[in-house]
Amino acid sequence: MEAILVKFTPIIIVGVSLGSLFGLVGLAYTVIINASQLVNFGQGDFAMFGVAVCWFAMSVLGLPLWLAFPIGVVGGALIGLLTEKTIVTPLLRREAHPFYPILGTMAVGTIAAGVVGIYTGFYWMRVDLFLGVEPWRIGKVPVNTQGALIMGATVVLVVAYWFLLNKTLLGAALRATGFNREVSTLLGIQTSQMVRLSFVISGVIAAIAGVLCAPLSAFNAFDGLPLAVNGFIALIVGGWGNPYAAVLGGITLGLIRALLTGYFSSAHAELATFVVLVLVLTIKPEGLYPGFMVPKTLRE
Amino acid sequence: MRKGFFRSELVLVSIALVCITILGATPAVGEKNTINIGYTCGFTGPAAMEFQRAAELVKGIVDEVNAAGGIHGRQIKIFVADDGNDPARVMGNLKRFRERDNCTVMLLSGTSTANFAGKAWAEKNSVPAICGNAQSDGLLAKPGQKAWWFSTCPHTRHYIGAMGVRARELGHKKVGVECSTLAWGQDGLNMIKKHAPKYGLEVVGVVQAEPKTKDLTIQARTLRDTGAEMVMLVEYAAEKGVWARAMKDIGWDAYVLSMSGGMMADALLAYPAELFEGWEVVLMSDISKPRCKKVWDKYEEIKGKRLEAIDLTGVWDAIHVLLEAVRLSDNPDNPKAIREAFYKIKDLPMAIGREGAKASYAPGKNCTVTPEDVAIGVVKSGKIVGLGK
Repeated sequence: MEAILVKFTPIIIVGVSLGSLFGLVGLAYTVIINASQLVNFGQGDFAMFGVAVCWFAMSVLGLPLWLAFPIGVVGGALIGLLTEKTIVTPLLRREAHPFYPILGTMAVGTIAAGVVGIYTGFYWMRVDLFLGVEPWRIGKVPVNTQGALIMGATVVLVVAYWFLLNKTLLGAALRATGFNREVSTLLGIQTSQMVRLSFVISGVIAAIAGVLCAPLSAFNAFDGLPLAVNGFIALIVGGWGNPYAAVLGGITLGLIRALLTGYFSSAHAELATFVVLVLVLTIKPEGLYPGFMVPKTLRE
Repeated sequence: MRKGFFRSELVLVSIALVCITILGATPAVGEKNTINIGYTCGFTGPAAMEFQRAAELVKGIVDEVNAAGGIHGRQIKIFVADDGNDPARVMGNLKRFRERDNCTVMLLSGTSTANFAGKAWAEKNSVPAICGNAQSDGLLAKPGQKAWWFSTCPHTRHYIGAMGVRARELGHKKVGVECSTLAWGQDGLNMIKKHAPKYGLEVVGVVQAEPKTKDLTIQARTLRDTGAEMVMLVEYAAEKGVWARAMKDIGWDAYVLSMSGGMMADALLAYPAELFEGWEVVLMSDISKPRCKKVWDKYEEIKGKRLEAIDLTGVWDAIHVLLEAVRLSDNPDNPKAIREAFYKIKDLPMAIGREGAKASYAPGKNCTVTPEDVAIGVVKSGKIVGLGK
């Protein structure tokens, strides 16, 4: 029994930490979807841009990680703001087909990846493990410090976002904008400001996910894309439009990958992700947890 | 007003299209007078850092040759394109170099995945190509075959041989392998499995790491539980760091022998060096030899900073061999003549290999390296130093 626990527990820890990362990106997607009904195809590049700013602050400006990290997060917020101001709102004002701003977000993300890539020479942007290379140990079970940070950050961000949405007037305005833009405008809510805010929040969450992920595996200007893909799958697996379900979807994906790796094959984790996606789309297209943490009155 | 505006836009777009068409159809300037070389390089992709510095060195060497008057009194013009290590882009770049830029010989900096495409293209189009990076055995010429594809680096069999000898020396018998799921890793894995018995080794477990994997802790634990006494690594730099962290996390202190010095050098730049302390690595050169120092001096001269990366020796040799073939050819505008000139190269001093290693090719031999050229190094305080093997 102890042997099973010793083998099983680390698999769960790895699965949850990796899944939390995907879930955070899924959450970042959902913030924008809920406020504007748009999918931000530049989401992974928001994360990458946060890493780039953090790396710049450390390697060029010589700042320590604890200072560079929040600067990177501000970078994420800025690229969110830039995307919204230059592409999204102008196109929404012109009542363009929703496909146009979505493509616009992709364009901004691609340009950001290109600019960062050219600046860095497509070299890796080194961000070291936040708490050093030595793992924590809980009994006989080692816990990777970066993985623990990712799990902790996910909990904090989910709680903070829940608080914003459910306990503040701003959150109510955000939800109302996503629910019905025209009625919200009639009620005096500045809907364009809400869309702007959603892009900023999304940029912040993505940048946090990116910078926390960067030390796990050498990160370069193109590494936003795998994060974006996995985050988007987390969102679909969890339940479209539900931020908490997106996080849970990510954790589910992470656990499936970890269990597969631990008990079957290490070479097909990425494939497993897509198999899960196809299964969910076929069997339960609304996602595995569509009503998770959503008040009963809103589920209909 | 609106219609007029639209019309003027249309005229401008038409003019732009005509200009683009004309410029696109115009031959590259100086094509008639220069000797043109095509260089497709994985500036992006799994070994981007290695290939970017390779390109910087190549450019510096070509500039030096041109400053000294060129070859046959003609300047060398090098056409460079990124292939992202994607075989389709490699093919596209080579086709463009040949058909548009009139290049008569090609240089590649890519992983085996890209090089297989390069070799196939070179053979199909009868244009010689050379690569200065570690390569799969599948790229070696068949016995007696005259090649269009040449290399200056060890192939998988050379590395595996050195790894086997080293493992036997240390008395290890049970080997775990951690390899990339890409071509080079799979090729290495197959070769290790095939040749392990020769060295009294048994492969007890295998971990296959997907590119950009984020965690290998579970895999490391599984491999440790097989009873592996040592781990042979055949993967890229990014995954090397993930593996090192995984071993650290589970407290596994096994002997590690990595197959590529270039990837190890990259990993040391991307991750905390302490993760790799004491790891051994197969090196394509005896890094104490003066010619290696010359390569690193040249790189420092070009870049303004010193980087003693062993992979630079491979590309140094590749561009020098290529230029020597151009020099020895009767007609550098004819790919066939350049290919024949590869076989005229005799005893060209090499940066790769043991002290005194020299380049030459023959039918059935398209690689300049012998098993004796490969050495073993060890990571000490963030640097790779030779073991003298």
